[in-house]
Amino acid sequence: MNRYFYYHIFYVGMMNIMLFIPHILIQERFGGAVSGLLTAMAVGTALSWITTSCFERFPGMGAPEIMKKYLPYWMASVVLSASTAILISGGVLALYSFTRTMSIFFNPDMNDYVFLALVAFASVCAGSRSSRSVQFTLEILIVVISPLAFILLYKSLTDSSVNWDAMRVVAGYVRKRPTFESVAAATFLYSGHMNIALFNRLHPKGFKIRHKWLIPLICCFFAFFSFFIPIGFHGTMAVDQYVFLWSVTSDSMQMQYGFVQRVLFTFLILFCVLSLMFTMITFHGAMEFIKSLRPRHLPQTEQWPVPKINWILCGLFGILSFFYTAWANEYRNQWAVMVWLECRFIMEILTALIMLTLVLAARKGWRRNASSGGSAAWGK
Amino acid sequence: MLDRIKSILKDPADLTMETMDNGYTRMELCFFPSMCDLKEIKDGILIPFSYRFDPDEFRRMLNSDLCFIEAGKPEEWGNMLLKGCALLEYEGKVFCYAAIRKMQDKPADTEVEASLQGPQSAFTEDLDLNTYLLRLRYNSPTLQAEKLEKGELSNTRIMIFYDRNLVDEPSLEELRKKLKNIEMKLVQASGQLGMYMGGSRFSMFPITLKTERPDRIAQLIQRGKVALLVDGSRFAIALPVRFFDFMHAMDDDYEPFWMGRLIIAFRYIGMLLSMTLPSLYISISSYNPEFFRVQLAFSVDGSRAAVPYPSFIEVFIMLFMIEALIEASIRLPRFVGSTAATVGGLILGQAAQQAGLVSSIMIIVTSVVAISNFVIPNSSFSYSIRAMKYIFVVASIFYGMVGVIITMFLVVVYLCNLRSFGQPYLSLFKQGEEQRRARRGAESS
Amino acid sequence: MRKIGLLIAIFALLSGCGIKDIDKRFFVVTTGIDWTGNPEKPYRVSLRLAITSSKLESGSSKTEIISTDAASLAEGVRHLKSYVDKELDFGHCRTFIMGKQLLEHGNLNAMSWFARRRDIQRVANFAVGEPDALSILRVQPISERYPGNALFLTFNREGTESPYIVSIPLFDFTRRHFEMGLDPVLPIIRTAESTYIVDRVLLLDKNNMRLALDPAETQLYNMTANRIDKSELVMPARGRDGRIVMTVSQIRTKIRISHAEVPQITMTVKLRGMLEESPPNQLGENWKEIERQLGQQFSDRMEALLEKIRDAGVDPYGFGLHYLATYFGGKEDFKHWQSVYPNVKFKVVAEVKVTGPGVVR
Repeated sequence: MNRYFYYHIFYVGMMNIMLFIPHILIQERFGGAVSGLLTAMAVGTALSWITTSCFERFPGMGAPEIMKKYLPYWMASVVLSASTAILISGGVLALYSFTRTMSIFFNPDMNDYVFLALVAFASVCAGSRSSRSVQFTLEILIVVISPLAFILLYKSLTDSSVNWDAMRVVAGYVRKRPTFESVAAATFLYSGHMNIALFNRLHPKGFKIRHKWLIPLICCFFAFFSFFIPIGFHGTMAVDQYVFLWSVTSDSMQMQYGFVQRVLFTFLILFCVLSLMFTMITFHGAMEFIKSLRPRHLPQTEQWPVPKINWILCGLFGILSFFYTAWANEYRNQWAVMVWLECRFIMEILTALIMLTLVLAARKGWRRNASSGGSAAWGK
Repeated sequence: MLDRIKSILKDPADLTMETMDNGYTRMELCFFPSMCDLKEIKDGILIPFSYRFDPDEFRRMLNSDLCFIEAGKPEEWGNMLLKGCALLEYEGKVFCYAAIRKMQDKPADTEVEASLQGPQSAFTEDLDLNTYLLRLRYNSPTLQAEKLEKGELSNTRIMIFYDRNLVDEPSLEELRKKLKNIEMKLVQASGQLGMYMGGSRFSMFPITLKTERPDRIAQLIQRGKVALLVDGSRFAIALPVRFFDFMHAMDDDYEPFWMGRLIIAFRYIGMLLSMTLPSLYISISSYNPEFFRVQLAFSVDGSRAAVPYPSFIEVFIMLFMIEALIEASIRLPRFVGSTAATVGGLILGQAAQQAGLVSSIMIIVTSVVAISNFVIPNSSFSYSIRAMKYIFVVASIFYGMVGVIITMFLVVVYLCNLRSFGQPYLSLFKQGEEQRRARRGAESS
Repeated sequence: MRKIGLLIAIFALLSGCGIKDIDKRFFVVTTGIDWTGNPEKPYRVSLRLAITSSKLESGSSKTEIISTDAASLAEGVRHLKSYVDKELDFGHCRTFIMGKQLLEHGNLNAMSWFARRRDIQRVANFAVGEPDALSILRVQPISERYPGNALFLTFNREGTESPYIVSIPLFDFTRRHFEMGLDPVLPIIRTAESTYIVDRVLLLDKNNMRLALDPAETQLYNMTANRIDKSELVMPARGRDGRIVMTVSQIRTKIRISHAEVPQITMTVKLRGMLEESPPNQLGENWKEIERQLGQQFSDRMEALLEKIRDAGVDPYGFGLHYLATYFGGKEDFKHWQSVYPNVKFKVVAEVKVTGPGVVR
């Protein structure tokens, strides 16, 4: 079961590229970007360690169950609604960025909404499955796309046009003070552990996440990789003019003997699947959280056939993404992504703190008195 | 007795009803000559009754011979006769003598799932012989059998086999529940039963595995699965199954490890090609010609120059042709089948390309699709793959390359969402758990 | 009714999704841009379009060239669409040629069109056409199988691996155009009857051309800057007729910049290779001596080349960037570097290793 946890770490670590995080950081490459990356490394590692260790103490329970058990109902629902909002908006933002990228590089002549219809349909279908199915899907997809990821890694690390001098120059700005934005953006890479809030439901008793030292290692690698490799390809100055930074970077490589010659397409396929995975899991998480807002909700990790409420909720998220697309353009989207990243960062800290308190409270044997809250049933 | 039977069966013309008299005593005998082995009746009943008659011996024989079962309940007589038993009334007692005519008395040859160097024997259409074949291969006291009959009109006998140490209990429970709910008039083929049972008549992929190979069934039972044998069908059903079981041919286990793995890998590649190649062709020629090498784009461009229709119509023309060809060669008698293949495949393909109706690249695509579809060892699964490719084609018509990728994603989601009798259909590393269970079972027994 | 509605919906979708069959597209294989001298319409955009056929033989490549004058590249390309019956597709355009005149007059910022187009590959090669781009486009190499393949193979190192050919892909060109302490270079294409000659390189500062290197210098530059092996070292044989030619099979370059007020740049080049041509009976003589002489000669030529480049005021090697990288410098340091670059000293240390005399004695 351990591996399932690391899949989340992996795909969120890679997903940063789709959410323009390298672009955000590169804007500050002569400012606090490098030190922001380093700070994020410390903060992100600490947060992930705290959160995962806390969840380990409640085997088989997701965040909704834990909070409903130990917190007053109104407080639990506020926290849950906030995390739901973060999840939904994350999915919608990823959906939009993904649609933009794909339609620019694959189907430039296509109507955005027509394209979004397909992508939203796919995400809604995938997100409305049961937790267990989602986890299986995640595993299969990770296995399927990992060769592509390795090709991309290998190509970008061995390409002779990478200019290591440019990376060193940017690394020299480490003495600048980190900004809140850069830290918030960079900690996104470490937020894969947040999925445990839902998927802890699937963890059996006595479950422990082993090799926790891997988390900072993996995330750090992805962080530095996605930040520095574009600099290596485009130099310190030209790099900030590209919005679709990594698409352009991967297009700068080629596989002379590859089946598909342009690395760009390897990259696009990889991130097509990654973004769909991301929206799948965010939609699924949001859906499950909303469902568990109901006081008498019984969490179920295996449901067959898929209940209607799943379709309805996920369908609503899909419709939301249409509204967002109607509102957004490239600049608004970047602003929204930035705001989202910051909110997410704060939410992550809050979650870690709440969980820490709950663990301490649980150790003292304190639990919410059944008569004081609105409802006594917190999942029997 | 005879009057009673007459009232049940209304005296059909093919029923023999005799009252026999050998001079000492009388016996009433009744059977369907078409359903019984006449030689058996002669050896088992007529000879002892007529010229070797000895009342004591005859009574002893009726009471102690395993072939004679006392049939006390008149309401069962009709069914017994219909199963091919002979009924005789002797001294007021009714006995049933199982003299069922056996069509097959030796295992059939594998036809659908041929194997190069594995066992060549396959299940037959006779349940008892099949049971023998299975018991022969899985010769363990833990092999459990359950018997039941299904079908209002066909009264088909069905046997459930599993290893009671290894079996996956929840799946077995679910199977029993589902079997109970089945109400069919005729059970003719195991596939039919499998379809009703899965509750998956509209599923895109088979969730039970049909096979004619006893060795495969034995192997599946050893991995904790349940097997169903249906009388009158050459194919046994195994469940619960997983995606990977369908891509596995028995030869893989009989050849050296790495060769087997390599062949399996090729099979997966073949499956992918068979699903996606037509849609990739559409994406390349209508949306993203820059996806592959420039040379490929130019050859597609050059070969498409004479084609009057857009690429997707071209694809539909060729796919229809190849499907028709496959269908024709399955339905046609074998010796005409090869003619159909030659005419359709060689002559039509060549002519269509020269006439400029389709491009030469499309001819290659079509043949690769057809050939790589045949590398899938299981025919019901290869039907699924054959159908899947149209979904990809439709997606690529509207969305090009991205359509193909997203459809692929959806297929994975669908497969992961699918359950075969409560077990996940597509999930990695489940095989390992099964093997562990098998090993545990081996140790405990 | 519902079926009709469904059909309408499908066709509406089809019209909205940009389906464009491959036989309705013209693949641009080479793009040329020239300077017209006309201030109204300063750019002459020429496109070489591939005419594909299903049969492929040597020399079967057919192309069509269209050309127009325009005020900007984008307008030119849009105007050219009206010259042809199919949609122009830049997805497979792997070579962009700029006329020499353009580099003398125009400014490179107009080239942002390339960087902005999504369908132009970042690995498409850039080159300078001499005397102009259109005349390069007009060349039809006899052996060409696919339209545009000859130039593509030339620059891609998939076919020829000549040490004279410098290839600059689009992303590299853009990088060099904007980078501090790294300047653009471009290979020069000339024509000879029905083939291309690519053996010189043009050095540019951020906006204008500065210096064209001759073939020998081009090879030296390419060896040291791009680590192109399969190059050669040549010197006359001492006391005998003939020359000693060494093919380089491996080359390593290392650059060190001292932190003095006027920095000194030390370039250490390690070369390994075989003797390809030498007067007979070379084996008996002292290899070390040949190595030393080859090395000495190489470093002399290199130092001369580096000084020439420095005097032209360009930095194709990226010394400035390396200086900043070594000392983690910022913008101030770069200003300092720019002021002292004209006076920097070069020192080239060549370590030549002859691995053998080939398959003969």
